[in-house]
Amino acid sequence: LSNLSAFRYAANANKIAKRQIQWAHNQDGLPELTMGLFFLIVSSLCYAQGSLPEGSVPFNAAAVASAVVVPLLCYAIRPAVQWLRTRYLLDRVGYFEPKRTSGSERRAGAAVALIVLVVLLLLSQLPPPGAWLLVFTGLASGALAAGCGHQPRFIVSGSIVAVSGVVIAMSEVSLSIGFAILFGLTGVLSLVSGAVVLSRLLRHRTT
Amino acid sequence: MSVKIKRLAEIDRTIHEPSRLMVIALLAAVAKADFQYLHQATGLTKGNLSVHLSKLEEAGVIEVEKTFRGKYPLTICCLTDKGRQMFDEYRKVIKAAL
Repeated sequence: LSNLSAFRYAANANKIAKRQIQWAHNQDGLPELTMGLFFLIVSSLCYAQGSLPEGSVPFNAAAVASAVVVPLLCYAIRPAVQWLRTRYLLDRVGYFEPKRTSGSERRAGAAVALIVLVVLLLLSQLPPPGAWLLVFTGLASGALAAGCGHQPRFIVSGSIVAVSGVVIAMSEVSLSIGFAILFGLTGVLSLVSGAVVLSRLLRHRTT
Repeated sequence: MSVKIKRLAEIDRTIHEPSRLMVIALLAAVAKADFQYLHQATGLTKGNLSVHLSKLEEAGVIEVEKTFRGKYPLTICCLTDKGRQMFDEYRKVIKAAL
């Protein structure tokens, strides 16, 4: 760094460092691999609920699994990634402990979740509800992936998911099958992307 | 000359050195980070990074803890309260001057 760029760096230090942390979090592809598995599980549960006869034992089992497994997985993904990284990749990617989220950040997260919930409820009142829900879910997932990832691969996969949401909504599939396709596609994209990143990391560091 | 510009002369050189500035900025964004992570994120050589970490530790800007995760030795670094304060002050001076 020259002295001038050091000044600029200092002025934007927090922003740059946060980007760097985001990059470090995604550099081994593990978050994408776990998210890919998560979306494939959610997709298969949606498909089961959409294709099995309502009220049957497998249908009820799928419904219960959705209610129990999905929230559990949401909590388990982050520690699982941390564990895998510490166990197998520590000497390759290094270790960092994120800062604890502050009260204001937690409140902002809760506010966003509330807004999303309200939007979903409003959309479910519009005719036909399934189509709007699919469009919103696709666009929101795509925007979230592209916005949080800050890397070209996330922007590409986010755009694909967003467009897919609209395309699936325009086709005449049921809501459950539509979600199964959307989540399945998201899962496959995440898995492929994560696998490529992880294999490149392993190959690069071992040579 | 503006007062804000004049304050640049008071900048602490421990922080202002570009390599150390990178390390401090990274540590300011996390709770803790290990040597390997800092090595990759900054692109500094291991020897160079080690020297800078020692200087920062001597100045009381960072704390260095040597530990193990299983069989893997970890050199964990984190900013001290003094270091965080110095970095915040440094950023204020730079922002005001720019």
